[in-house]
Amino acid sequence: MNKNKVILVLEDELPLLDAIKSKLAKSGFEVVTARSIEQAKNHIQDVENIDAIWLDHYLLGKENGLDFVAWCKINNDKCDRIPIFVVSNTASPEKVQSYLKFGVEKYYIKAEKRLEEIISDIKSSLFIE
Amino acid sequence: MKIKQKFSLFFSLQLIIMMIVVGLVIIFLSSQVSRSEIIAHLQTTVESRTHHIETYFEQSIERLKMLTSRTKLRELLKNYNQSQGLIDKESMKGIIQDAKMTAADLDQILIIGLDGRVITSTDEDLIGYDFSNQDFFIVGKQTEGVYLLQKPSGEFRIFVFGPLDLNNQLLGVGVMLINLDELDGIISDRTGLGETGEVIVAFYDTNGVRRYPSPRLFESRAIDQSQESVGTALPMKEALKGNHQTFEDILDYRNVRVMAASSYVKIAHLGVVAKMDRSEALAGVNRVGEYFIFISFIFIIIFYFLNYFLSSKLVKPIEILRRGIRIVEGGNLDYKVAIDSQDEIGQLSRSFDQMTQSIKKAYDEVELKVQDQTQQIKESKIELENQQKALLNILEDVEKEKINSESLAKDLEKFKLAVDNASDHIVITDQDGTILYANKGMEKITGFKIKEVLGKKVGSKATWGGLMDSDFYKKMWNTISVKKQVFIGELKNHRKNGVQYETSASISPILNQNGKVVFFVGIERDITKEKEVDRAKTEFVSLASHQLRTPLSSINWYTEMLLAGDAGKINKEQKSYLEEVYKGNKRMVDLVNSLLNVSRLDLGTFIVEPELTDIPPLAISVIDELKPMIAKKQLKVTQQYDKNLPKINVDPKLLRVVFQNLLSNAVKYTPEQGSVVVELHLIKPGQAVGKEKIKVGSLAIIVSDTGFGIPKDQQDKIFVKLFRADNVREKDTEGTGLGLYIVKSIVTQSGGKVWFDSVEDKGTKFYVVIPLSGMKKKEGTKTIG
Repeated sequence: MNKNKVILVLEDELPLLDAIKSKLAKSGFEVVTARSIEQAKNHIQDVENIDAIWLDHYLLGKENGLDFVAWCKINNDKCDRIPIFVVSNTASPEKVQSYLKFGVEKYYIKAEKRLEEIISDIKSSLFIE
Repeated sequence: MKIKQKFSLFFSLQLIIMMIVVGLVIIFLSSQVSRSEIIAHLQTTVESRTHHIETYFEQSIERLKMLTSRTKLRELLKNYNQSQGLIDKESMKGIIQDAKMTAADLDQILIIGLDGRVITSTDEDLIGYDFSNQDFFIVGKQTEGVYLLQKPSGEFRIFVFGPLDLNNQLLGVGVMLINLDELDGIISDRTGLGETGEVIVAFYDTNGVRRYPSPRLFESRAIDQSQESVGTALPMKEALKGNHQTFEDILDYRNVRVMAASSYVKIAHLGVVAKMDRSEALAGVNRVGEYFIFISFIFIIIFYFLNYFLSSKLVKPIEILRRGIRIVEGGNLDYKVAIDSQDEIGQLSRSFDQMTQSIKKAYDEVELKVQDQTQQIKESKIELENQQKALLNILEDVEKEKINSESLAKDLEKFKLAVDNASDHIVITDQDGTILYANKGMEKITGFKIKEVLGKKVGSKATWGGLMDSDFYKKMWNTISVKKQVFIGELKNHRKNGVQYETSASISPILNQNGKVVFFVGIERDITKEKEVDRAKTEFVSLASHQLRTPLSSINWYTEMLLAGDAGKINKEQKSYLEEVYKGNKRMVDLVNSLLNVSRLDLGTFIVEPELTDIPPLAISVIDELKPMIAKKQLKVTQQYDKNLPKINVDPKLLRVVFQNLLSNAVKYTPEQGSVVVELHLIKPGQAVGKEKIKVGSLAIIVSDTGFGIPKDQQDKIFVKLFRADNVREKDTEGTGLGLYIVKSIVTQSGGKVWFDSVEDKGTKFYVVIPLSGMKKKEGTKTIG
């Protein structure tokens, strides 16, 4: 582990975003945040070596997480291989199915998961990779 | 003709024929015999007569000899011859007259001198007659002899002559003339000659003419008629030839057929013939024949009647049989002829009886069959009558129907009106989907006019369809046209103005009698608003959950970080407070989840996706989730699952929720070291679960605990939203009060039942029964979970 892993966090709620960012930093990640798809897209373009994406479903702006995943996986060779971890409060199986179909790594329900758990999962999947 | 007569006639005929044959034979033989006998007899007779005559003649010669041997006579003759003395003549006359007296038949005695002249005679007529050229004189000079001759007067006499000689000196010839009486007597001895038989004697006279001196049966005395009769009379010819012959069939002097035997008296050159008329000769035969015929006749008649009588006996059984047959013919099939005898008639009668029996049997069978048939016919007749009645009824009904159909037509009008004006979009197409009819609802919903769509294909962009993908339409077409089933689904269509809308469609094929699709009826309901509402609800819930969960997540994570010491070390008190905060937050999250589920249940927007689910693993995984708490409270959890539980068509997510709630309740509300029993049973129809009898085959889930129980006065509220009983609230356990409401809603939705038994501080037993038919698929927008 020479370099810190870079993780892009997409979350629209500020308090949550701060908590995530803080915990991730404490866990040894470099965190890039975005509150809208647009911002995320920009980050993708700008930041070279994003290792993982933490994605919420509902975001600022018209597009939601699913759109982002679609954009990522379909016609963007920059980020189509970046593992995506969806952390959202909406739990409808259709959404989950849709995300999983696109090939996200995992889907978590925010309210039911501890930060630690999510982060340890991300870590292990990154290291396995 | 009757048999009896036939018999009699037959046998009589036989007899007659036999008799005839026999008769003929007899007659033939007897005639043969007769003839030979008669011939023999005639022969015997003729010989006998001949012999008799010969004897007589010989006797006569002896008589002559006695005379001619008288010495006196001869001396006298000698003297006469010398002297011609009268006294000698007279003395000689005296002697011959004496001699004549000795015999009745001595007619005359003559003494003829050497010159042939009669010297002396007993009668005056022939004295001096010259017999010198007569045979008898000539022969008489030599020896004795007998001739039958005629006196010059014409009378026939037997001339017995012989020489008178003395000392070998011929002196003269002595002649005795014997009358024919004796001869006649001999000849006319008709013994054995029957009626027509006679003996005739004949001789050749000096002129060579045959003479018949004897009395003849058929003509007057021969002497009167000595001339030969007409005819050659062969027998006599032969007789005079000296032939002893027999003649079986010859004509006599009368030209009558006779049988004859000829003989010859040599001495006198007499032919003797014994003859008998053939008719008489054979008369015996004829008589035999006649007798025979007569007897035969009598015999035949007797025989005929005898036969008649006897054949009666024979024929009687036939008569009995015949009568029997008549009786049976007359219809009495029970009558038995039953002739006892062992002969053919008896057998025939028995066979006949058997036949009668068979006929009777057959007749009876036929009777039965006929009865049967008659019965059937009766029944058929009744049936026909009934059918007729039924037909009449039908006709009446048809009349009624006619009236009905008229009113039906009116009703139909009403229905058409109803359909026309229904708010739903109703369309009828042919089997190819060409629109034949559309109602006003279609106009309202799609914006197309009826005129515009008639004749067009449904599902095309030209009308309101064509927005779904081709697979969808293919599946729909397959269901309605190939599988010929009703298709129910949701479509997106577009109005004439292009605006899209959603419908809930039900498309039904209409089949004809051969099962071929002839029409489709499509009914669509514009569910755009509903959908929108649904979506809105879903969105609301979604959003609500999101909005509610976000702050909760925030609290969750920050508390987490604080507890983890990410903001600095915390003391015990701080830790415990923070833990309380964390716990409280958790409860909120649970509550929010439950509320969301409840709201979905209430809103009916949840999805039911049944799949064949193996139940025990589901229960086991839920128990696993609770393992931390179970371990912490040291609870004994027993699992009793029926072996071979079938998989059931349930939505595993929903069933999981049921298990989660029941099990978490059991674990939560049981004090430490208590026990929880989880049972899964297959229930047969009619079996009881607890106190409830279950009608259909079902799955029973029983969760029992030794927990706090539910107070009796609060048991009725247990399933109420947010309700928590006092006893558990006192005990400070956590709970939303929504769990059982959710369980009840899910179970009821699945067609099942949930109930419980509970005693406070003893324990609770919850029963959930779900029918094996499982949950029905439900379209919705959200899952419960």
